[in-house]
Amino acid sequence: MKKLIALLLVLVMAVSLVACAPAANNNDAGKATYAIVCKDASNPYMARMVSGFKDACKALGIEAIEKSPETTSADDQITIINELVAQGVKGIAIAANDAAALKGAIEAAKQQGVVVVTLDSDTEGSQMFVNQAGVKEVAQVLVDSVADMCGEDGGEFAILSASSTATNQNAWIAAMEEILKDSKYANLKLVETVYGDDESQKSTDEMQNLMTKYPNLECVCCPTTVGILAAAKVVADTADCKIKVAGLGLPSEMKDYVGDDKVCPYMYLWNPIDVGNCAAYMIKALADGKVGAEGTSFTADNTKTYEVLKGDTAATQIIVGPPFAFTGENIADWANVY
Amino acid sequence: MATKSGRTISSVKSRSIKDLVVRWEFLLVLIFLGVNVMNICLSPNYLNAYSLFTNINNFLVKAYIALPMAYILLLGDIDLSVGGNVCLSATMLGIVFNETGSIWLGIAAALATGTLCGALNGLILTKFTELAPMIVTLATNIIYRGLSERILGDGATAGMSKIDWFFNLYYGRVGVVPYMFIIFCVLAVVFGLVMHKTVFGRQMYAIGENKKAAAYAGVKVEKIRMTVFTLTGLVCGFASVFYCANLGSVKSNVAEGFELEAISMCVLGGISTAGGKGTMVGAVIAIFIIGLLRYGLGLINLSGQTIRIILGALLIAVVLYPTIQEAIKNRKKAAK
Amino acid sequence: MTVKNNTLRKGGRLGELLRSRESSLLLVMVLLVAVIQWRSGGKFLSSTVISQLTQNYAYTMVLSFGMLLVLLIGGIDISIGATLALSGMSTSLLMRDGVITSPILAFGFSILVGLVCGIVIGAIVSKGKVIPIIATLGMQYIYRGLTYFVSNTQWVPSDKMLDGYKAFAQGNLLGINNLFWIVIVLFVVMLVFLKWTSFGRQIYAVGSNADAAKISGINIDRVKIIVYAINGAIAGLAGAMYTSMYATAQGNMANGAEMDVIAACVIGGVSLNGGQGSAFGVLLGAITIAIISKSLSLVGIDAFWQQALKGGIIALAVLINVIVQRNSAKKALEGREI
Repeated sequence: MKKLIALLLVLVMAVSLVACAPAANNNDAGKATYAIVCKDASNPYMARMVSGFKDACKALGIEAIEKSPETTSADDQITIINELVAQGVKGIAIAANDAAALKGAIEAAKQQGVVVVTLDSDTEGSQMFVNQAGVKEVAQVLVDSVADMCGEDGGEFAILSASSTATNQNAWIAAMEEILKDSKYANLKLVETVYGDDESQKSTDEMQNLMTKYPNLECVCCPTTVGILAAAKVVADTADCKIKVAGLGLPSEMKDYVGDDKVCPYMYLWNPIDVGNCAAYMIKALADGKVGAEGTSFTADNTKTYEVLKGDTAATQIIVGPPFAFTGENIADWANVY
Repeated sequence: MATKSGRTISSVKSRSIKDLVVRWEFLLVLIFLGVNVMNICLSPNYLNAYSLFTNINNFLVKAYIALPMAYILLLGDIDLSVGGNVCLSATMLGIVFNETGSIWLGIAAALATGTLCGALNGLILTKFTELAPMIVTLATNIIYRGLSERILGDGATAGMSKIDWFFNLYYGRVGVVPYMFIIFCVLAVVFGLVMHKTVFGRQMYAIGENKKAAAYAGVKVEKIRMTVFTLTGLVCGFASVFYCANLGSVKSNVAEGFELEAISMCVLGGISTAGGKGTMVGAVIAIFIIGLLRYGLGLINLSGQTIRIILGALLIAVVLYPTIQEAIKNRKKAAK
Repeated sequence: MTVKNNTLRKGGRLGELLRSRESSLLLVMVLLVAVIQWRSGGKFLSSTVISQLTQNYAYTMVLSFGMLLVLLIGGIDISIGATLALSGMSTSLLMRDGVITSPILAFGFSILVGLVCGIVIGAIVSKGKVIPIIATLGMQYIYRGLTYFVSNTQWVPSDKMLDGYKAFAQGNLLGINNLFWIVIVLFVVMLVFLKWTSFGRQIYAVGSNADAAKISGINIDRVKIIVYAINGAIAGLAGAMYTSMYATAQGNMANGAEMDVIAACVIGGVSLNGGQGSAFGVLLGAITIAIISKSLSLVGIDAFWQQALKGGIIALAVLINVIVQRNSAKKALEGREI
């Protein structure tokens, strides 16, 4: 009887698992499968990228799989890459959580004939980096918007970043510091770089502390979607606060705060849907051997043409587009898109 | 955590422990088989030895830590600092390697750091016995990871994978079987033998069952606790070596959440956090249940969060099992 | 003899007060604040910073009161962060979809979701006889997973939330922020509840000696379920406070909040073995944790030192508490010998 109960329990568990599983991907049907691996499960920015990727796969007649790691540490993404290789997918697009740690897993995948590209964040071993926007271009627009918001006479500004281990943010901040050395920006003073860890409570704390510590602060630059949201909220809720918020943010999240007379006159981002879209076409083109070496150009099946450039970490890269400005006029329209 | 009535996994007192344990392992074996059958049905790719071992390797680092964690739980203690410890040890490995160019020195540094961190936990807990291990290791976990953050800043330490033999610690295989798996088997056997066949093991059971009684019976309680916490630290250092071989680059956010993973593995294996209960065989089976279930569900591309829901439900269902069984038995008796 | 005893008791009572956990904690707190005030150049003790602190950490303080009850019966709950996220997220989703149309309804619904989560845990712990840390570890996975599941990994942006809901967290009454009023009210309720109601005394009885409590006719299972239910409801309340404060609902919100809350309770003198602790101590403990978290970046400590320092201060506070207790126990013994 006891054994029967135990057996029943196991059976019920197995059946319920099968029931709640989505239809298994059948790779033998001759339909190739591409997978996109996100940075984490809780970011709407990533979700938009996935939707672009899936659209492109659909147009190509390819199955698309979406995978998100449980934590932002690199070993979860390694596990996912291994799982995907075991399933026999033909291509993987990955937004890497570490610039070096995924190399072993990616090399092993490539040996099995899987095409591996990176998007959003690059890592060693990737064949092609589908770059949303060049690091220098992003840093340039951020510095320019800070300069604009501080006014002719310059002034003090601070950076509120994500966590200290976030690869993209660190690269942008380093590039910003480089640009700031130019005499053109001599009157801008970066007082401090703080980390809000992409948590609302910590970001709010850091933003408030910046305001307490630097009473002459004129602008805060947040190259992260969680950070800019918290910073804008703090400024908007503080009476008579003249600080302006610049940075990168999602229009749908920032709709309340962007506008000429609001805390954030304008902000930047690129179209994550396009980035995901382009990555899928890129995998297909690489698999078909249609992508040339550095210096050639590449036309995706969506008829957009990109130049193949030398990569910083990956072998080669393409840049999807310059950062796009969201202002009071267009924010409402874009808020419905992403 | 101290043992108190009503806070043990099973309230059943009339049954002998051996009886319960035998049945618990039986249940685990059934679940293990169930998971495997399910995986085979779900995915045609599951029974590929090469990929299977690749993916087993992925959870073996956590499995290494689960072994000493079993000892800690057996004593009625808990260690929430293993994640921070692995992170700091791995950081030291990378830093020392990059400073001196010698991977051997790096490995020595990792082992030393791990052991020191473990010993520090043990020292605080044995000098201040009124402190709960949970709160102490919670604080040291933050400290260890914080030190790694201080050392690495916003950067990473890398380059370890350029040394072939070190890289192969994780990726190397005998046939299809990875070295890491063989080492795990050896470790598991050693840990199991110490737990079940030595005086030290029996003393651990005695402490977990009743600390005071054990002390009166002449068991050096604090000395054993100190040894076990230090041993856990050493194993964390050891695990961090393989972790580095896998990643080849260390940031201060690595090994996040390892503590709860290792504890879940032990608890599913029947080792009660109240102490004095469970076997190593159970823990090892549970390690593979969790690992392979994750892999199987990953193969059919369930999202990580859905997998978590399923793992949580499995954990609760299994620990509820003895109570449900008891209730059914009672109802039958009443019917008679 | 009686005279002697009386004088002794008089001195003893003052000494008792000085030696109590609360006073030693108060001492630690004063020292901490003094150091921070000095290091921050006098910026910490200002009305702005203090009101930011009380507003930003109100939800952690509220959670601490729930945790106090659970710890008092010898239990623990490491799922409150996930319960907070699930209740906050489901409330925000319903607000986005126009189902919840008033702030009061939103708070009520959030508390209800938390209450249900708590009852489930209470049932598993009492009726299922599962060790609390294991039960809540499992339920933490489930509740956090459900949060992502119901939200489909989307965020709820601020423009989709009710204005009154968002305004509540920013509003003041008699110069004190609304969120902190919740803390004050809850503190008073807890104080009365634990000291002067028979159920409050039952909670202590169950925690100090469950067997004795059972013999004296207390229904232990009932006490446990009610305590976990209250704790869940408080976590639900904190979920509403969180989402109204930050005007955003994200899947990973309050991840790991339980650890800060447990630390606050232990610093406040609550024993993890049950039966020992007071609402006043917990309030002090929660404020100490809030001060540490808030001030580390304010006093200009290098961003990369903050984490290690926070852990160090928690360990130190706990250790000082133990040492003070030991000394006072020793003195008490000496006094008795005389």
